[in-house]
This record gives sequence, structure tokens and C-alpha cells, in this order.
Amino acid sequence: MKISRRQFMKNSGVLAGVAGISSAFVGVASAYARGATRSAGSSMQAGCETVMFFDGQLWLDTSGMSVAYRAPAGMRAAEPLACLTDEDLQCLYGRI
Amino acid sequence: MADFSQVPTKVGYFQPERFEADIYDCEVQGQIPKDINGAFIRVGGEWLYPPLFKDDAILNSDGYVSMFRFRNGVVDYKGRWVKTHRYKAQRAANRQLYGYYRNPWTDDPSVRDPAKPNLRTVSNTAPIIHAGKLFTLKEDGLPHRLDPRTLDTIGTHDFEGKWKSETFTAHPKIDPVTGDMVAFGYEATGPATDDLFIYTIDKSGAVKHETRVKVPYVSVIHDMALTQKHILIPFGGYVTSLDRLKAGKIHWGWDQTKPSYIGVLARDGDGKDIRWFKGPERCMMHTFNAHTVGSKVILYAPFYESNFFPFFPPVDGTPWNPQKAKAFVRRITLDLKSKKDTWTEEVLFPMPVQDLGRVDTRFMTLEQRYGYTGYPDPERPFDEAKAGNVRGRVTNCYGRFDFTTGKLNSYFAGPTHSLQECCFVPRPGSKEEGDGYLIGVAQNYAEMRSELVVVDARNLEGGDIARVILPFRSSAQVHGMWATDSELGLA
Repeated sequence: MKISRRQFMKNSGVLAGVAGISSAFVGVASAYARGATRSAGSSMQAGCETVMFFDGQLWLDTSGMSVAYRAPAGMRAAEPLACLTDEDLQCLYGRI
Repeated sequence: MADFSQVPTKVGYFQPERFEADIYDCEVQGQIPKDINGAFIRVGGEWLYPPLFKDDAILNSDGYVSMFRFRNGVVDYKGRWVKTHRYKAQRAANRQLYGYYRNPWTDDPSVRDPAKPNLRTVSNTAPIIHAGKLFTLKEDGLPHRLDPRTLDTIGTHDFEGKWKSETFTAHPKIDPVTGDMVAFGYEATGPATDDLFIYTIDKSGAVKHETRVKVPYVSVIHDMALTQKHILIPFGGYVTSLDRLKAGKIHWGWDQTKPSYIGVLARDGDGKDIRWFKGPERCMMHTFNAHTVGSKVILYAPFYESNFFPFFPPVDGTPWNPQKAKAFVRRITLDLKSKKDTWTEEVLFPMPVQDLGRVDTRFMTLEQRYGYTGYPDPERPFDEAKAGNVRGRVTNCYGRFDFTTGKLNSYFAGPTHSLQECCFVPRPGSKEEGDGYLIGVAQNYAEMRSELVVVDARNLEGGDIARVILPFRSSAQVHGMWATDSELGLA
């Protein structure tokens, strides 16, 4: 399963903003991260990676012991505003 | 074409930046002290192209240097890539060509050359100024010399051919008494070699002493310490081998069965006389300072309990353990008269700290009272809605750690901020240790921007006296340093 940064942020915003259930998000984000980080030639063990915040950076934790990073609701990734959908924009400005 | 969409760690505040920048007369909140004249130079990493391997070390990202130049209360900002051989090769190919951190066997065939691994260096770890020259450093290659005015890369530097190691530490130490710089290169004759070369470079920039050492086992030797009499070489835990590299793995793994070591060598001594002291499992990355008293060598260092880096996995297959990736301020005493090969260690403060320990460098090699570093204070306010679910894990404070009394003074950056390594700036004309400013870059997650904070180092509780506001997220810093205009040749 692959996920783009855009999809990652979109899902994180919706879940955090609407449901407000961070534990639910942690599970979803971990699942996305698991899928997103598999790569041919990778030396890490697939299936238990987490995107985590540690020492001021985001890292891939292969242990599965870390809490998955959740960005603030509505924080967008790198795409220009003009490329956002209406839903993205509403999410960005906290209307969803 | 660059496409970071499949790099899951490059999101939100941490998304790619990849630009060079100049800002003249930056926005400032508060008042920049007019007696600060010089430059805060920072070196860090930024991926020019996405890594070939998604679990690669962030330490493998391309070198980026930035400078906050202070002049009479005004601050300019400049950011530039370090134009390494590797940077130029990628620019020419318009894609990532290099594989895992310090593993040339994983490179694209067009650049793969295990016989010349130091051509892979990204020079992304630390700046140093010595003998009027500005360098960027990384421990897997030679220093890159930069023009301090423009930050343009001039090229690699081998000290007129007298530096024989293939590598150069990111943490040389400059003796404020003599002006000598003591530096080393490990894996000095190639990947996974046990050769450590140690050099003294005089204040004019000329190599005046070299000695060679065989290490007990090949490991990360990231930092060192220097006293008026001794050179200290700490390491532990990380292991590598040619077999590991040829198997296509990242350079280091963690072996919890390996002891930690601190080598003690008389300055300008012969490498065969180095004395290795042995200790428990420790991840020994950075030091504060050290000094020699009689037969005892006292080292202050924020060493970790165990493996700090999640991307350097344990070799026994166990998972990386974030609970043991905690650093504490330690005082280590090595008794040269003792017949034992161990040291004594005291944890001076109970809380985990950022291991990026800094001091007033006018007192480097000498007995010192204060160390400075960041630390997370979970009791301080944090706005998760604006800054993400990292409460309790952000480095939201700088501390002044009094090694003599155990007192901690603290500066708090704000409820949506995380602090990078600090730097001590002596107050011009002052002689007393600790009389000056602490400066450092804060990541403001809510505003998606970087802010340079300026704090009176003797009044941390008073808050910042100025903030330099950048309208973007400045490249992440590994290490930085302060230099006066005269040290930079800009006076």
C-alpha cells in the first residue's frame, strides 16, 4: 500500500479534526507508514515501521514501539494552495 | 525530477525545502544587543533528491550551511548548499545517485567507487573556523572550505597534503590557550578499517604532529575531548564490517554486548601509548568539555544509555528501544594512577537532555562550571492542536547546567516550539565564564517558520531578548558555531 504525503496529511487532518480520536489516528497512520516505507533493497524489517517524532525530527522507527507522529489538523504538505481541492482548503482552514 | 511524495518523513513542517536564500535585515522581535557582532554559522542536512532507500539515515542528506550575520543590531541571513563532489554529481544527473549512509556498495553504478568512499561525503555535520578559514565537516570525508562572505564552496582541504587520513572528524577541538586545533580521522584508511589518525594543527593551520592508533574495535568515533594535557577518544556500541557493507546494509549496527571505551593519550604523545578505559553499554556521541587535575582526567558529557539512532538497528535483531535512547549529563572520572581499566561515572541531573552539549569555548580544555544544552520539559505548556501530538517530546527548553552546584537554569521557547542545538556567544570584553548570550534556532510548528532566539546566558528565566523571524523553515541544523568578525576575516 502506498500513500503520498498529500494523502497522509489529508487523512491525518480529517481524522484529527473531525473525529478527534488520536488513538484511532495512530493506528491509521501506522498502517499507512507501514505500507509507504517498503522498498526494494531495504535492509529494515518490513511491517512494523512507524513515522515518529524524536529529537525534533521525523524518523522511521522499525521497532513499532513509538507513537506515530500526527501533524496538526489541517496542516498541508508541499503542494501549492492552487493545487488543493475544495475539501483540502476547507480542511486547511479548519472548516472540516 | 525530484519527487518526495513517497518519503513519509517529509511531511508538514518537515517537508522538503531545497532552496538557497538571502535575507537582508531580517524581521526581529525585541532588540538585538548591539555588542553582538559576528556570525552564527549552522550546518545541517537537506535532501537534494529523495534517498534511494526510505529507511536511510537522515545523516545521509546533503550538506547545507546557513549563516546569521549580526552587525550593529541588524541580522542578515544566508543559506547555501555545500557544493560537494556528490552534490555536483547529482545535479548533473538530476537524480539521487548515492545509496545508504556510508555504504558505497549501494551506490548507482555510475558513481560507485568503494576505493574512494570519501568522495561520497555530504559535509553536513558541523562548521569550524581555524586559522582564518571556514570549513564544513563530516566524519566520512575531508573538510570543505567555504568563503565566509558568500558561503560559496571552495573545495576540500588536506592541509597542504599533510593530512593523511581519508576522513576528518566533525568535532575537532581548539585549545584557547595555544590556538592549536586537535583533530582525528577514524576508519582512516577505508571503510571498516581500525585505523585512527590523530593530528595537531597549529594556529597558522599547519600540521605539526601526527600519531596513529589501532582502535579496540571499529565503531563510530563521533566526538572527542581535549584537556591541557590529554586527548580523549570515546566510543561504543556501533559496529560495522566489510561483510556488512558488501551485503548492502547501512554502515552501522548496534551491538549491545560491546563495551564502551575512552582512550586517553598525552597531547603530542605516541599513539602506541594510548590507554583504553572500558565501560558499560553506552552510546557516546558528544562531549561538553574535559580537564586534567593531577592524575585524574574529568570528562563532562551527555552520553546516551544505549543506541540513539533508529536507523542503525541492533545486530541481534531486537527492535530499537526508544526508552534507552536517553542522554543524561554525566561526569566521568578517569584515574591514570589506577591499575583498573574502568572509570567512575556520575549522572549529575535526573532529566534526559538533548545530547548536543555546548560550553563557553573560551574555557575549552580547562575546568569549567557550566554546560548548556536543550531538554524537554513536559510540565511546560504545549499546544497540540497547533503543533502536533509531540507533547513532552519537544526540546522546548535550553538549560544552563551548573556542574559544581547541580543547579539548573532554564529558558522556555514557547508552546509550539522545538529548539535545535544552542550556541554560546561571549559578551565582548567579558572574562567571566558564562557572561554572554545563548542563541539557537527554534522550530515554530504552528507558524511553519524558524526563529533564532537570543537569550542572556546569565538570565535564562528572563526569556529571549530578541527573536529573528525567518519567513520559512530554515534547514535543520546538526551543529553550529559562533565566530567573531575578526575570526571570520570580515572585520
